[in-house]
Order: sequence, then structure tokens, then C-alpha cells
Amino acid sequence: MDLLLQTLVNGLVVGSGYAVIAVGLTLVFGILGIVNFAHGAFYALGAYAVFLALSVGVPYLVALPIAVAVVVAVGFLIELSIVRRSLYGVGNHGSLIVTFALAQVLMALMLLIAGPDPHPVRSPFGQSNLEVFGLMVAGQRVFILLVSVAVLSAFGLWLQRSVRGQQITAVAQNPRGALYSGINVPMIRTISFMLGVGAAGLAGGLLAPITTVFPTMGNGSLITSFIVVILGGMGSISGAMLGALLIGLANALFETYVSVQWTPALGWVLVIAILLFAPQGLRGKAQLDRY
Amino acid sequence: MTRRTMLQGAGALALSLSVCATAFAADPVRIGLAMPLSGAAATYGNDGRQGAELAAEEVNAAGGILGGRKLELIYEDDKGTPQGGVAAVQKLMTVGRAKVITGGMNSSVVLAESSVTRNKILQVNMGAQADAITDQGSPFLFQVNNTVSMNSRAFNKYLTDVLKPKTAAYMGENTEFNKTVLEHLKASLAAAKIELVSVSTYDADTNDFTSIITKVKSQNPDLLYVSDAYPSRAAQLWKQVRQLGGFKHEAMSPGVVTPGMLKPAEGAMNGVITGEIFVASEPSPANQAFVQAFRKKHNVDPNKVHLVAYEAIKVIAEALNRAGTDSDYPKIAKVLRDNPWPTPRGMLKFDEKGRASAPYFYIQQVKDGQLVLLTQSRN
Amino acid sequence: MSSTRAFRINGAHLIVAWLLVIAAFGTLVSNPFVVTLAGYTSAFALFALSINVMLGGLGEVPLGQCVFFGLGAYAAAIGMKSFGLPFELALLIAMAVSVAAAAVIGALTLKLTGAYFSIVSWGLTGVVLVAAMNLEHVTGGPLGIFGFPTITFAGVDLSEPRGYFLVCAVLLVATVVVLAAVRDSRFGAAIESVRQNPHLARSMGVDVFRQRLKAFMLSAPIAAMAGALCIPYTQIVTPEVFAVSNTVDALLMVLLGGSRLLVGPVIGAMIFSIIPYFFNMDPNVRILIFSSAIILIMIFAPGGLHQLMSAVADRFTGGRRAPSGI
Repeated sequence: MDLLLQTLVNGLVVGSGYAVIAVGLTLVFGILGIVNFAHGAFYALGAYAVFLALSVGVPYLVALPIAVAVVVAVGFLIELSIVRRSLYGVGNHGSLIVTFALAQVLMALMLLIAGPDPHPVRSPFGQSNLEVFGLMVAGQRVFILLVSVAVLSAFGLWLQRSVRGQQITAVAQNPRGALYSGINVPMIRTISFMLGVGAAGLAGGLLAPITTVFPTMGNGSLITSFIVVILGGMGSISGAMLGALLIGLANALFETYVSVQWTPALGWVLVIAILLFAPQGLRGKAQLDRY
Repeated sequence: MTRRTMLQGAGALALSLSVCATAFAADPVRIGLAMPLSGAAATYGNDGRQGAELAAEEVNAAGGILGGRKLELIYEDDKGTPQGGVAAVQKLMTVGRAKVITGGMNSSVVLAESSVTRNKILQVNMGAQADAITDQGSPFLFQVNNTVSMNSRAFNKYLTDVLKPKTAAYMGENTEFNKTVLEHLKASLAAAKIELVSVSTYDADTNDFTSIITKVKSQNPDLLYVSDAYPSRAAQLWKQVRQLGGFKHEAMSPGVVTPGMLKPAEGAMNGVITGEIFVASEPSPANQAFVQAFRKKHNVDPNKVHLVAYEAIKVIAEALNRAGTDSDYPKIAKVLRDNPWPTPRGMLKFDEKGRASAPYFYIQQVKDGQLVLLTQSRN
Repeated sequence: MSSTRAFRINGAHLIVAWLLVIAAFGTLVSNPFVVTLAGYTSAFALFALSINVMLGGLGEVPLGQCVFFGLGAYAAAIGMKSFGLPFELALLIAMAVSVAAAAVIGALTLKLTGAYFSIVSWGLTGVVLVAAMNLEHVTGGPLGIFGFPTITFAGVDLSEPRGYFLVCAVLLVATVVVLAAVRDSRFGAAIESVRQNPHLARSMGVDVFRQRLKAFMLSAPIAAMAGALCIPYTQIVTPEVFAVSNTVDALLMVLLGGSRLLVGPVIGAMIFSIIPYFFNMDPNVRILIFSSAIILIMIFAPGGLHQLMSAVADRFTGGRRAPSGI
């Protein structure tokens, strides 16, 4: 029973880590229709930004928002120069290739700047543990859980209450209609992209103390985020959060009770099953045709 | 023709001959290194490069080999894939005009490369550890590093005879290297009547081990044995082990722990026992000469990867010199097998399969983020 | 229509010319590295062609095409190693296996389109990769299958650079000829109509799903052949043949050369493979420059080099050339 409870807790905690990056991908994939192969690279960028800030003496809690700002700025520049010119409305293979090449460029830059070796990132919650009813959770993970919940709730509220947020939702549901009602669609797209990759960067910064910082760190997160987004339903933010928790739980349970070495296939099997039998996922709209 | 013209002609001929002779003598001996210079294993390629360069510098400073010829190192990126390795080795052999191929950090890559070099050129595998590589019995293929079996045998002996846990659990990445480690571990534990209560193999992209560690903890083993060669992942794993409370005895597969792994682990690996063919603190003059020279150049202690790269270049240079040729490979191979070679580890001897063995194997423990020598065993 | 007929008249000449170039290259170039690389490039170009059947033909991005590539490699490897089959037979079996797999996979996944189809096929590679790593007794696990007897094709020793190159290059030409014939057939026309407007095609009586399935089943054995032909190059088959990065590399080749041109993938393959080997830069700098170049191409010439060339040609002919299908 103890094992089950601890496994469930592990799953939820890990899932909350996925939630942030998955919500970011929902913004870029779900709303902008870009199959963002560079999402993992932005995640890594956030982690590297935190590492570089730490190495000049900035404390972790200050480095985190700085890193997010850096990633958002980079996202802005990229949206302006690359995404806008090549990715809207050209179909998948364009976005796939361009974002893949972009990921390679970013990774090569990070490798050239910081070298191939993995670097540790020190966080104030580093090695601490929280023990609740005999269940152990690492301090940093609690921090991630709290930050995720806070950021995502704030974001959800902003989407619902603010004008800009409502405009984003409008563009997500009906870009042309939004254009006709006078919404500045290009600007909304830019903002969505910036927010989306900013979320990935935040996730990278949050997870850096746990995973250490190394050039290929984005790859695993890329796959997981796509799985989560599909499970949750395209374009649905709440779906992405739910999907993240479910994937975290499913992986933890499968790994503990069934087989460790087949666990990587679990996510993929789920994605395939969902796309074949329930493509709208948990919360998305039923749309078999996609760009 | 007048005598003067003849003399002038003879003088010119003698001059041009001597220029040719010097040019020929100055023709460097090219050694080709196929290593991972990009991708996930780039850190090994980088270390290998540093070790090789130190060795080449020393050889050249001492006057070179084969009558004053200098060593020239040529690098090609094997990209960590068999295709990359094959292309790298072919390029080195043709465009690079290498006389010897070395490098090699990944077993699948070296296996692919060995089919290209077989019977064609001398290949000295620096770092890859799969037994299958040298099991092929290729006449010009040699290996400086211990194979997985050699390391496991020596290390497991310490675990079963000295540490003596009652039960053990295994965690490792799903690779050929680790599978062999696991097989040897199973055999050693069974022979010593130690129960292996849990086996978990995870894939390369895993960075969250909490579920696995929790599961292992629920079985309550005395010893946790982790087999993982990638610094960043292993560091994460140990941090998470530490956060979940750790185990009574902790061991890490021999031959993989480097400062590149200890540094990101930030103290989480303190107490872990491992084994290695090389340790920087070993006091013999040969070892210290190498360690000091490296420290002087790079301001850090060398690790095992630096060592095997250094040794490979030194042994190649010595062997070519002693054989008196840079291309008579049967002769060079014979010279390599027939003689012992002085290296920082002591005298190295190659067996019929081309595997090198040194006198000692070192058991180490991590203390304060550094590897400290516990004891050494004779091979 | 006139452009299609024009192609037919010139097509045979182009093929002969190409064969002559192959023969010349094979006999005149003596650097074994370049020759073997050309052979491997030809084999990989086959993979790029198979991707273009889906991309240029159907308009889908088959991220999972490396499943057939890997299936071909493993089937041929197992055939040779465990059953002692000669390479020719192992190759045929590999192609047959891939067609069967394509039938099953296609039946399940081809109702999806666009990003959904791409992600499902990506998912399949993930599952197959894990399976290949774990099913050791079949696939040899992470270390893979190696230690093959001498591989020959129609009497040509494939461990010899020249032999390897000739076999791969000739098979490539043969495949292009077959694909050109398919393109000019009724099936080809049906596929083109499906690609341009599936709803219209359906309303004209084209069984869209069936045509997509047929195209998929056509692309699979080409990928399998490519996978099997890569075996003589490395003499080892590891689970990484299923990695999606192979598909992405081949996609880059297709896009470089132009997906609307039948031989675009081949041109792209040649550029992609040859250029890196003539620059001795730090590998990471090379990745940086190459990827940046890809981005620039996708921004300014998404139709690949073919589009660029057409644009240049148009400049010179004052735009009077007949459109060739872009």
C-alpha cells in the first residue's frame, strides 16, 4: 500500500513537471498549428540560461525569471524572422523541418558556448526532502508542483478574463473569424509563440536542478510533450494539464508494477491508440483533418 | 660535357637527393582518431582528444619515431553511430592517409569500424568495452581499455568477498554494455549465494528514476548496483537515490565513473563504491609522471578516458618504432603481442585477442565528490 | 499533358546518360572513401525517394517511414545471419515483409491526415525502437546483428567499394524508372488528384483511402530495400535504424532537391552527403551552418533547389517555359 501511494505521489509530481512544457506546446501546436520540433530546444535553452546566470553569481530564484525572459525574447526574434516567413499555412513538413533545423542550431550554439559536459544547477531546494505521512517527495519537485500550479492557474485566468487572453482563445477557435472581427491576428500569433516557448523555457529552468544541464536534454521532453498534448486534446490547455498528470501517473504505475524496460513504449502506444480511436483526446475538439 | 658541368650536375643532384631525403624523413606518421566529437558522447571524444594530444606532444618532444618523424594526429567525428564511424574511418584511411586507426568510445561503432579495417590497417580501440569486438579475433585489432568482462570479474570479486551484502538490486540503462555487466553480476552473486531481488533496465531518455528507486527500496536490498555510462543521467540517478534515502551499500559499474559524472552529482555519489583500471592518486613514478604532466597542461586530474587515449598513442608510437615500420602490419601486430609496454598503469601486455591487461585493478570510493582509493587487487 | 509527353521522350535519354555517368564514376574514381560514400548515398537516396512517394505524392509527412527502413535492414540481416540466405533472397523477403507491414499499418493509420498522421507514424517508430532494444533473441538487442558472411549481389562482392556503388546506383536508377512509370500511369494521376484535393477526388469516384493505401504500400519496399542496402556499408544493424532522425535526414534531402521533382530526393541526397565531407570544420560548427542553411532554404525556397532552378530558368527564358508542375 505504501508502495502504491508513493508511486501515485511520484507520478503526480512528475506529471506536474510535464504540465508546464505541455501547455507551452499546446499554444504553439494547438493554436498556431506548428509541429514544433524545437520545443525541446527551448526547454534546454531555459535550463542553460539558468546555468549561465548561476555561474555569474545570480541566485537560482532570480535566475529563473531571467531565463524565462531570455527564452521569450529569443522566441520573439525567431517568430519575427523565421516562423512568420515560413511556417503559417504551409503545411506540416515545413514546420517540422524548420523547427527541427532550429532545434539543431540552438543545441549547437549551446554546445559551443557551454561545452559538451553536463553541468549541475544548484537550487535552494536542492537536496531537501519533504516527508508527509511516510511518503517522500524531493523539495525541488514540490517547488515545481507549486510553481506549475501557480503559473498555469494565473495563465488560465488571464486567458479567460483579459482582453488579450480572450483574443488568443478566439484565434485558436477561428482564425479567420477573429481576423474579420478586427483582432490583430499576427500579433496574437507572435504572443502565443512567445508564451509557448517561454513555458518550455520555464520548465527547463525548473527541472534543471533535477536533470542537470546538457546539450541533448531537450529530446526526452520533446517526445513527452507531444504525447501529453495529444492525450489532452489539441488546443486545450486544461486538457494538456490533465494529460500531463495522467501520463505521469501511467508511467509511474507501469514502471513500478509492470516492466521498466517497456515503459518508454507506453506513451507511444497511448498516443497511437488515442489518435486512432479518440483523436480529440480528453478535452479537445474532434478534428481529424489537421492542416 | 665539361668537368665543371659534371661537377655542377653532381652537386645539384646531391643537393636535391638530400632535400628529398630530409623531406622524406620529415614526413609525419599520421594517426587517425575516429571519435564522437558531436552528439551525446561528445564529452568522451573531447577527453580522448586531450589525452591523445598530450601523448603526441611528448613523443614529438623526445624526437619522434622511425628516424625523427613526428606524429600527426588527425580527427574525424564518428557521430556516435556505426554509419558515422565507418565514414570517419574510411576518410581517415584514404583522404587522411592515416597509418593507424585509433579512437573508438562506443562498441557498436567500433564493431562497424572493425569490419572496415579488418586485415587492412592497424586499429587500436581506445575506449569501447564490448567483448564482442576483440572476440572477432582480428589480427590487426587491439584494445587498450579493459573489456566489460575483465572489469566485472575484478570488481564483483570485491563485492562478494569483501562487501558481502545479503541481497542486491540492479539498475541499469538498456545497452549491450550493461547487459553484459548484469550477466556477470548475476553469475557472481549466484556463486556467492547472494540474492538478486530486483532488476530494472531503463532507456536512454529516462531522467526520472523516482518510481524505479521507490520500487527497488520496497524490496529492501543491502546493495544497489547501478550500471550507467552516461555522466548526466548517472548523476541525476544518484541525486534521486540520495533524495529517497539511499541504500546500505551502493556500487557503480566499474570503468564509468569520471569527474564529468561526479561534478554534476554534487555530492550525491558520496559513499558509492566503484572500480577502475586507473586512479590518479596511485603513487608509482610512471603514473605520477602522466598525472603531473596532464595537471600542468589542463589544471585538472586526468580520468580514465584521458588515460586510455594517452596510452594508445604512446603504445602505437613505441610499437611502430620498435617494429621499424609504419605499414608492415603483420610485423607491428607481432611486435605488439610479443612485448610488454610501459604505461602509467605499469607494464601492459596484449593477449592473442589483442586485449591489454595491466598489473592492477583499483577499487575506489567516492568521498567529498572525489574518487579515493580503497584497495587494489592484482589481475 | 504536353509536359508529360515531353518527359517521356527525353526520359530514356536521361536514364542512359545517368547510367553512363555511373559507369564512368565507378571506373574512373579510385578513392575508396568517395566511392563507398557514393554507394551509401545511393542507398539512402532510395529511402528519400520512398519518403517522397508519400510527401510529394500524397502530401503527407511520413515520420514513421524509418520503420520500413529498419524492418528491411533487420529482415535482411536475420535472413542472412540466422537462415543463411543469400543477399538477393534476403532483400526480396525484406521488401515483401515491409509491404505486408505497410498494409497493416496503413489500414489502421491512413484515415488520419496531416499532423495527426505524422505523429502517429512517429509514435510507431518509438514503439518499434523499444521493441528492437528489448527483443534480444530476435534483434540482437542494443548491440545489434553483426558478423555477416561475405555479401554479394548477382555475383558482385558488396564489400568492394566499386561493387557496392554499382549495385546501389543501378538499383536507384531502376527504382526511379519504376516510379516514373507509376507517375505516368492512371494510378499516378489518381494519387495526384488525391493530393491536390481529396474531397474533389472522392466526388469524382476515386476511392481515396484505397489509393493512399496503395501509395503507402508502394513506398514501403523502397524504404526496405534502402535499409537492406545499408548493411554492407556498416556490417552491423542496430536498433538506431528505427530512430526518427533517419527519417528527418531523408526529409531534408527531399526538401533540398524539391519534392515535386521525381529525382529531387536523389539530388538532395547527393548534396546532403557530399558537402559535409569536404569541409573540415568542428562538427558542431558544421551542424550549426548546415541547419541554418536549411532554415534559409525553407524561408526563401521551400520548393527546394528545383524551385530555385526553375525561378532562375524562368528569368532567362522570360517566363515562357511551360509550367512543370510546381
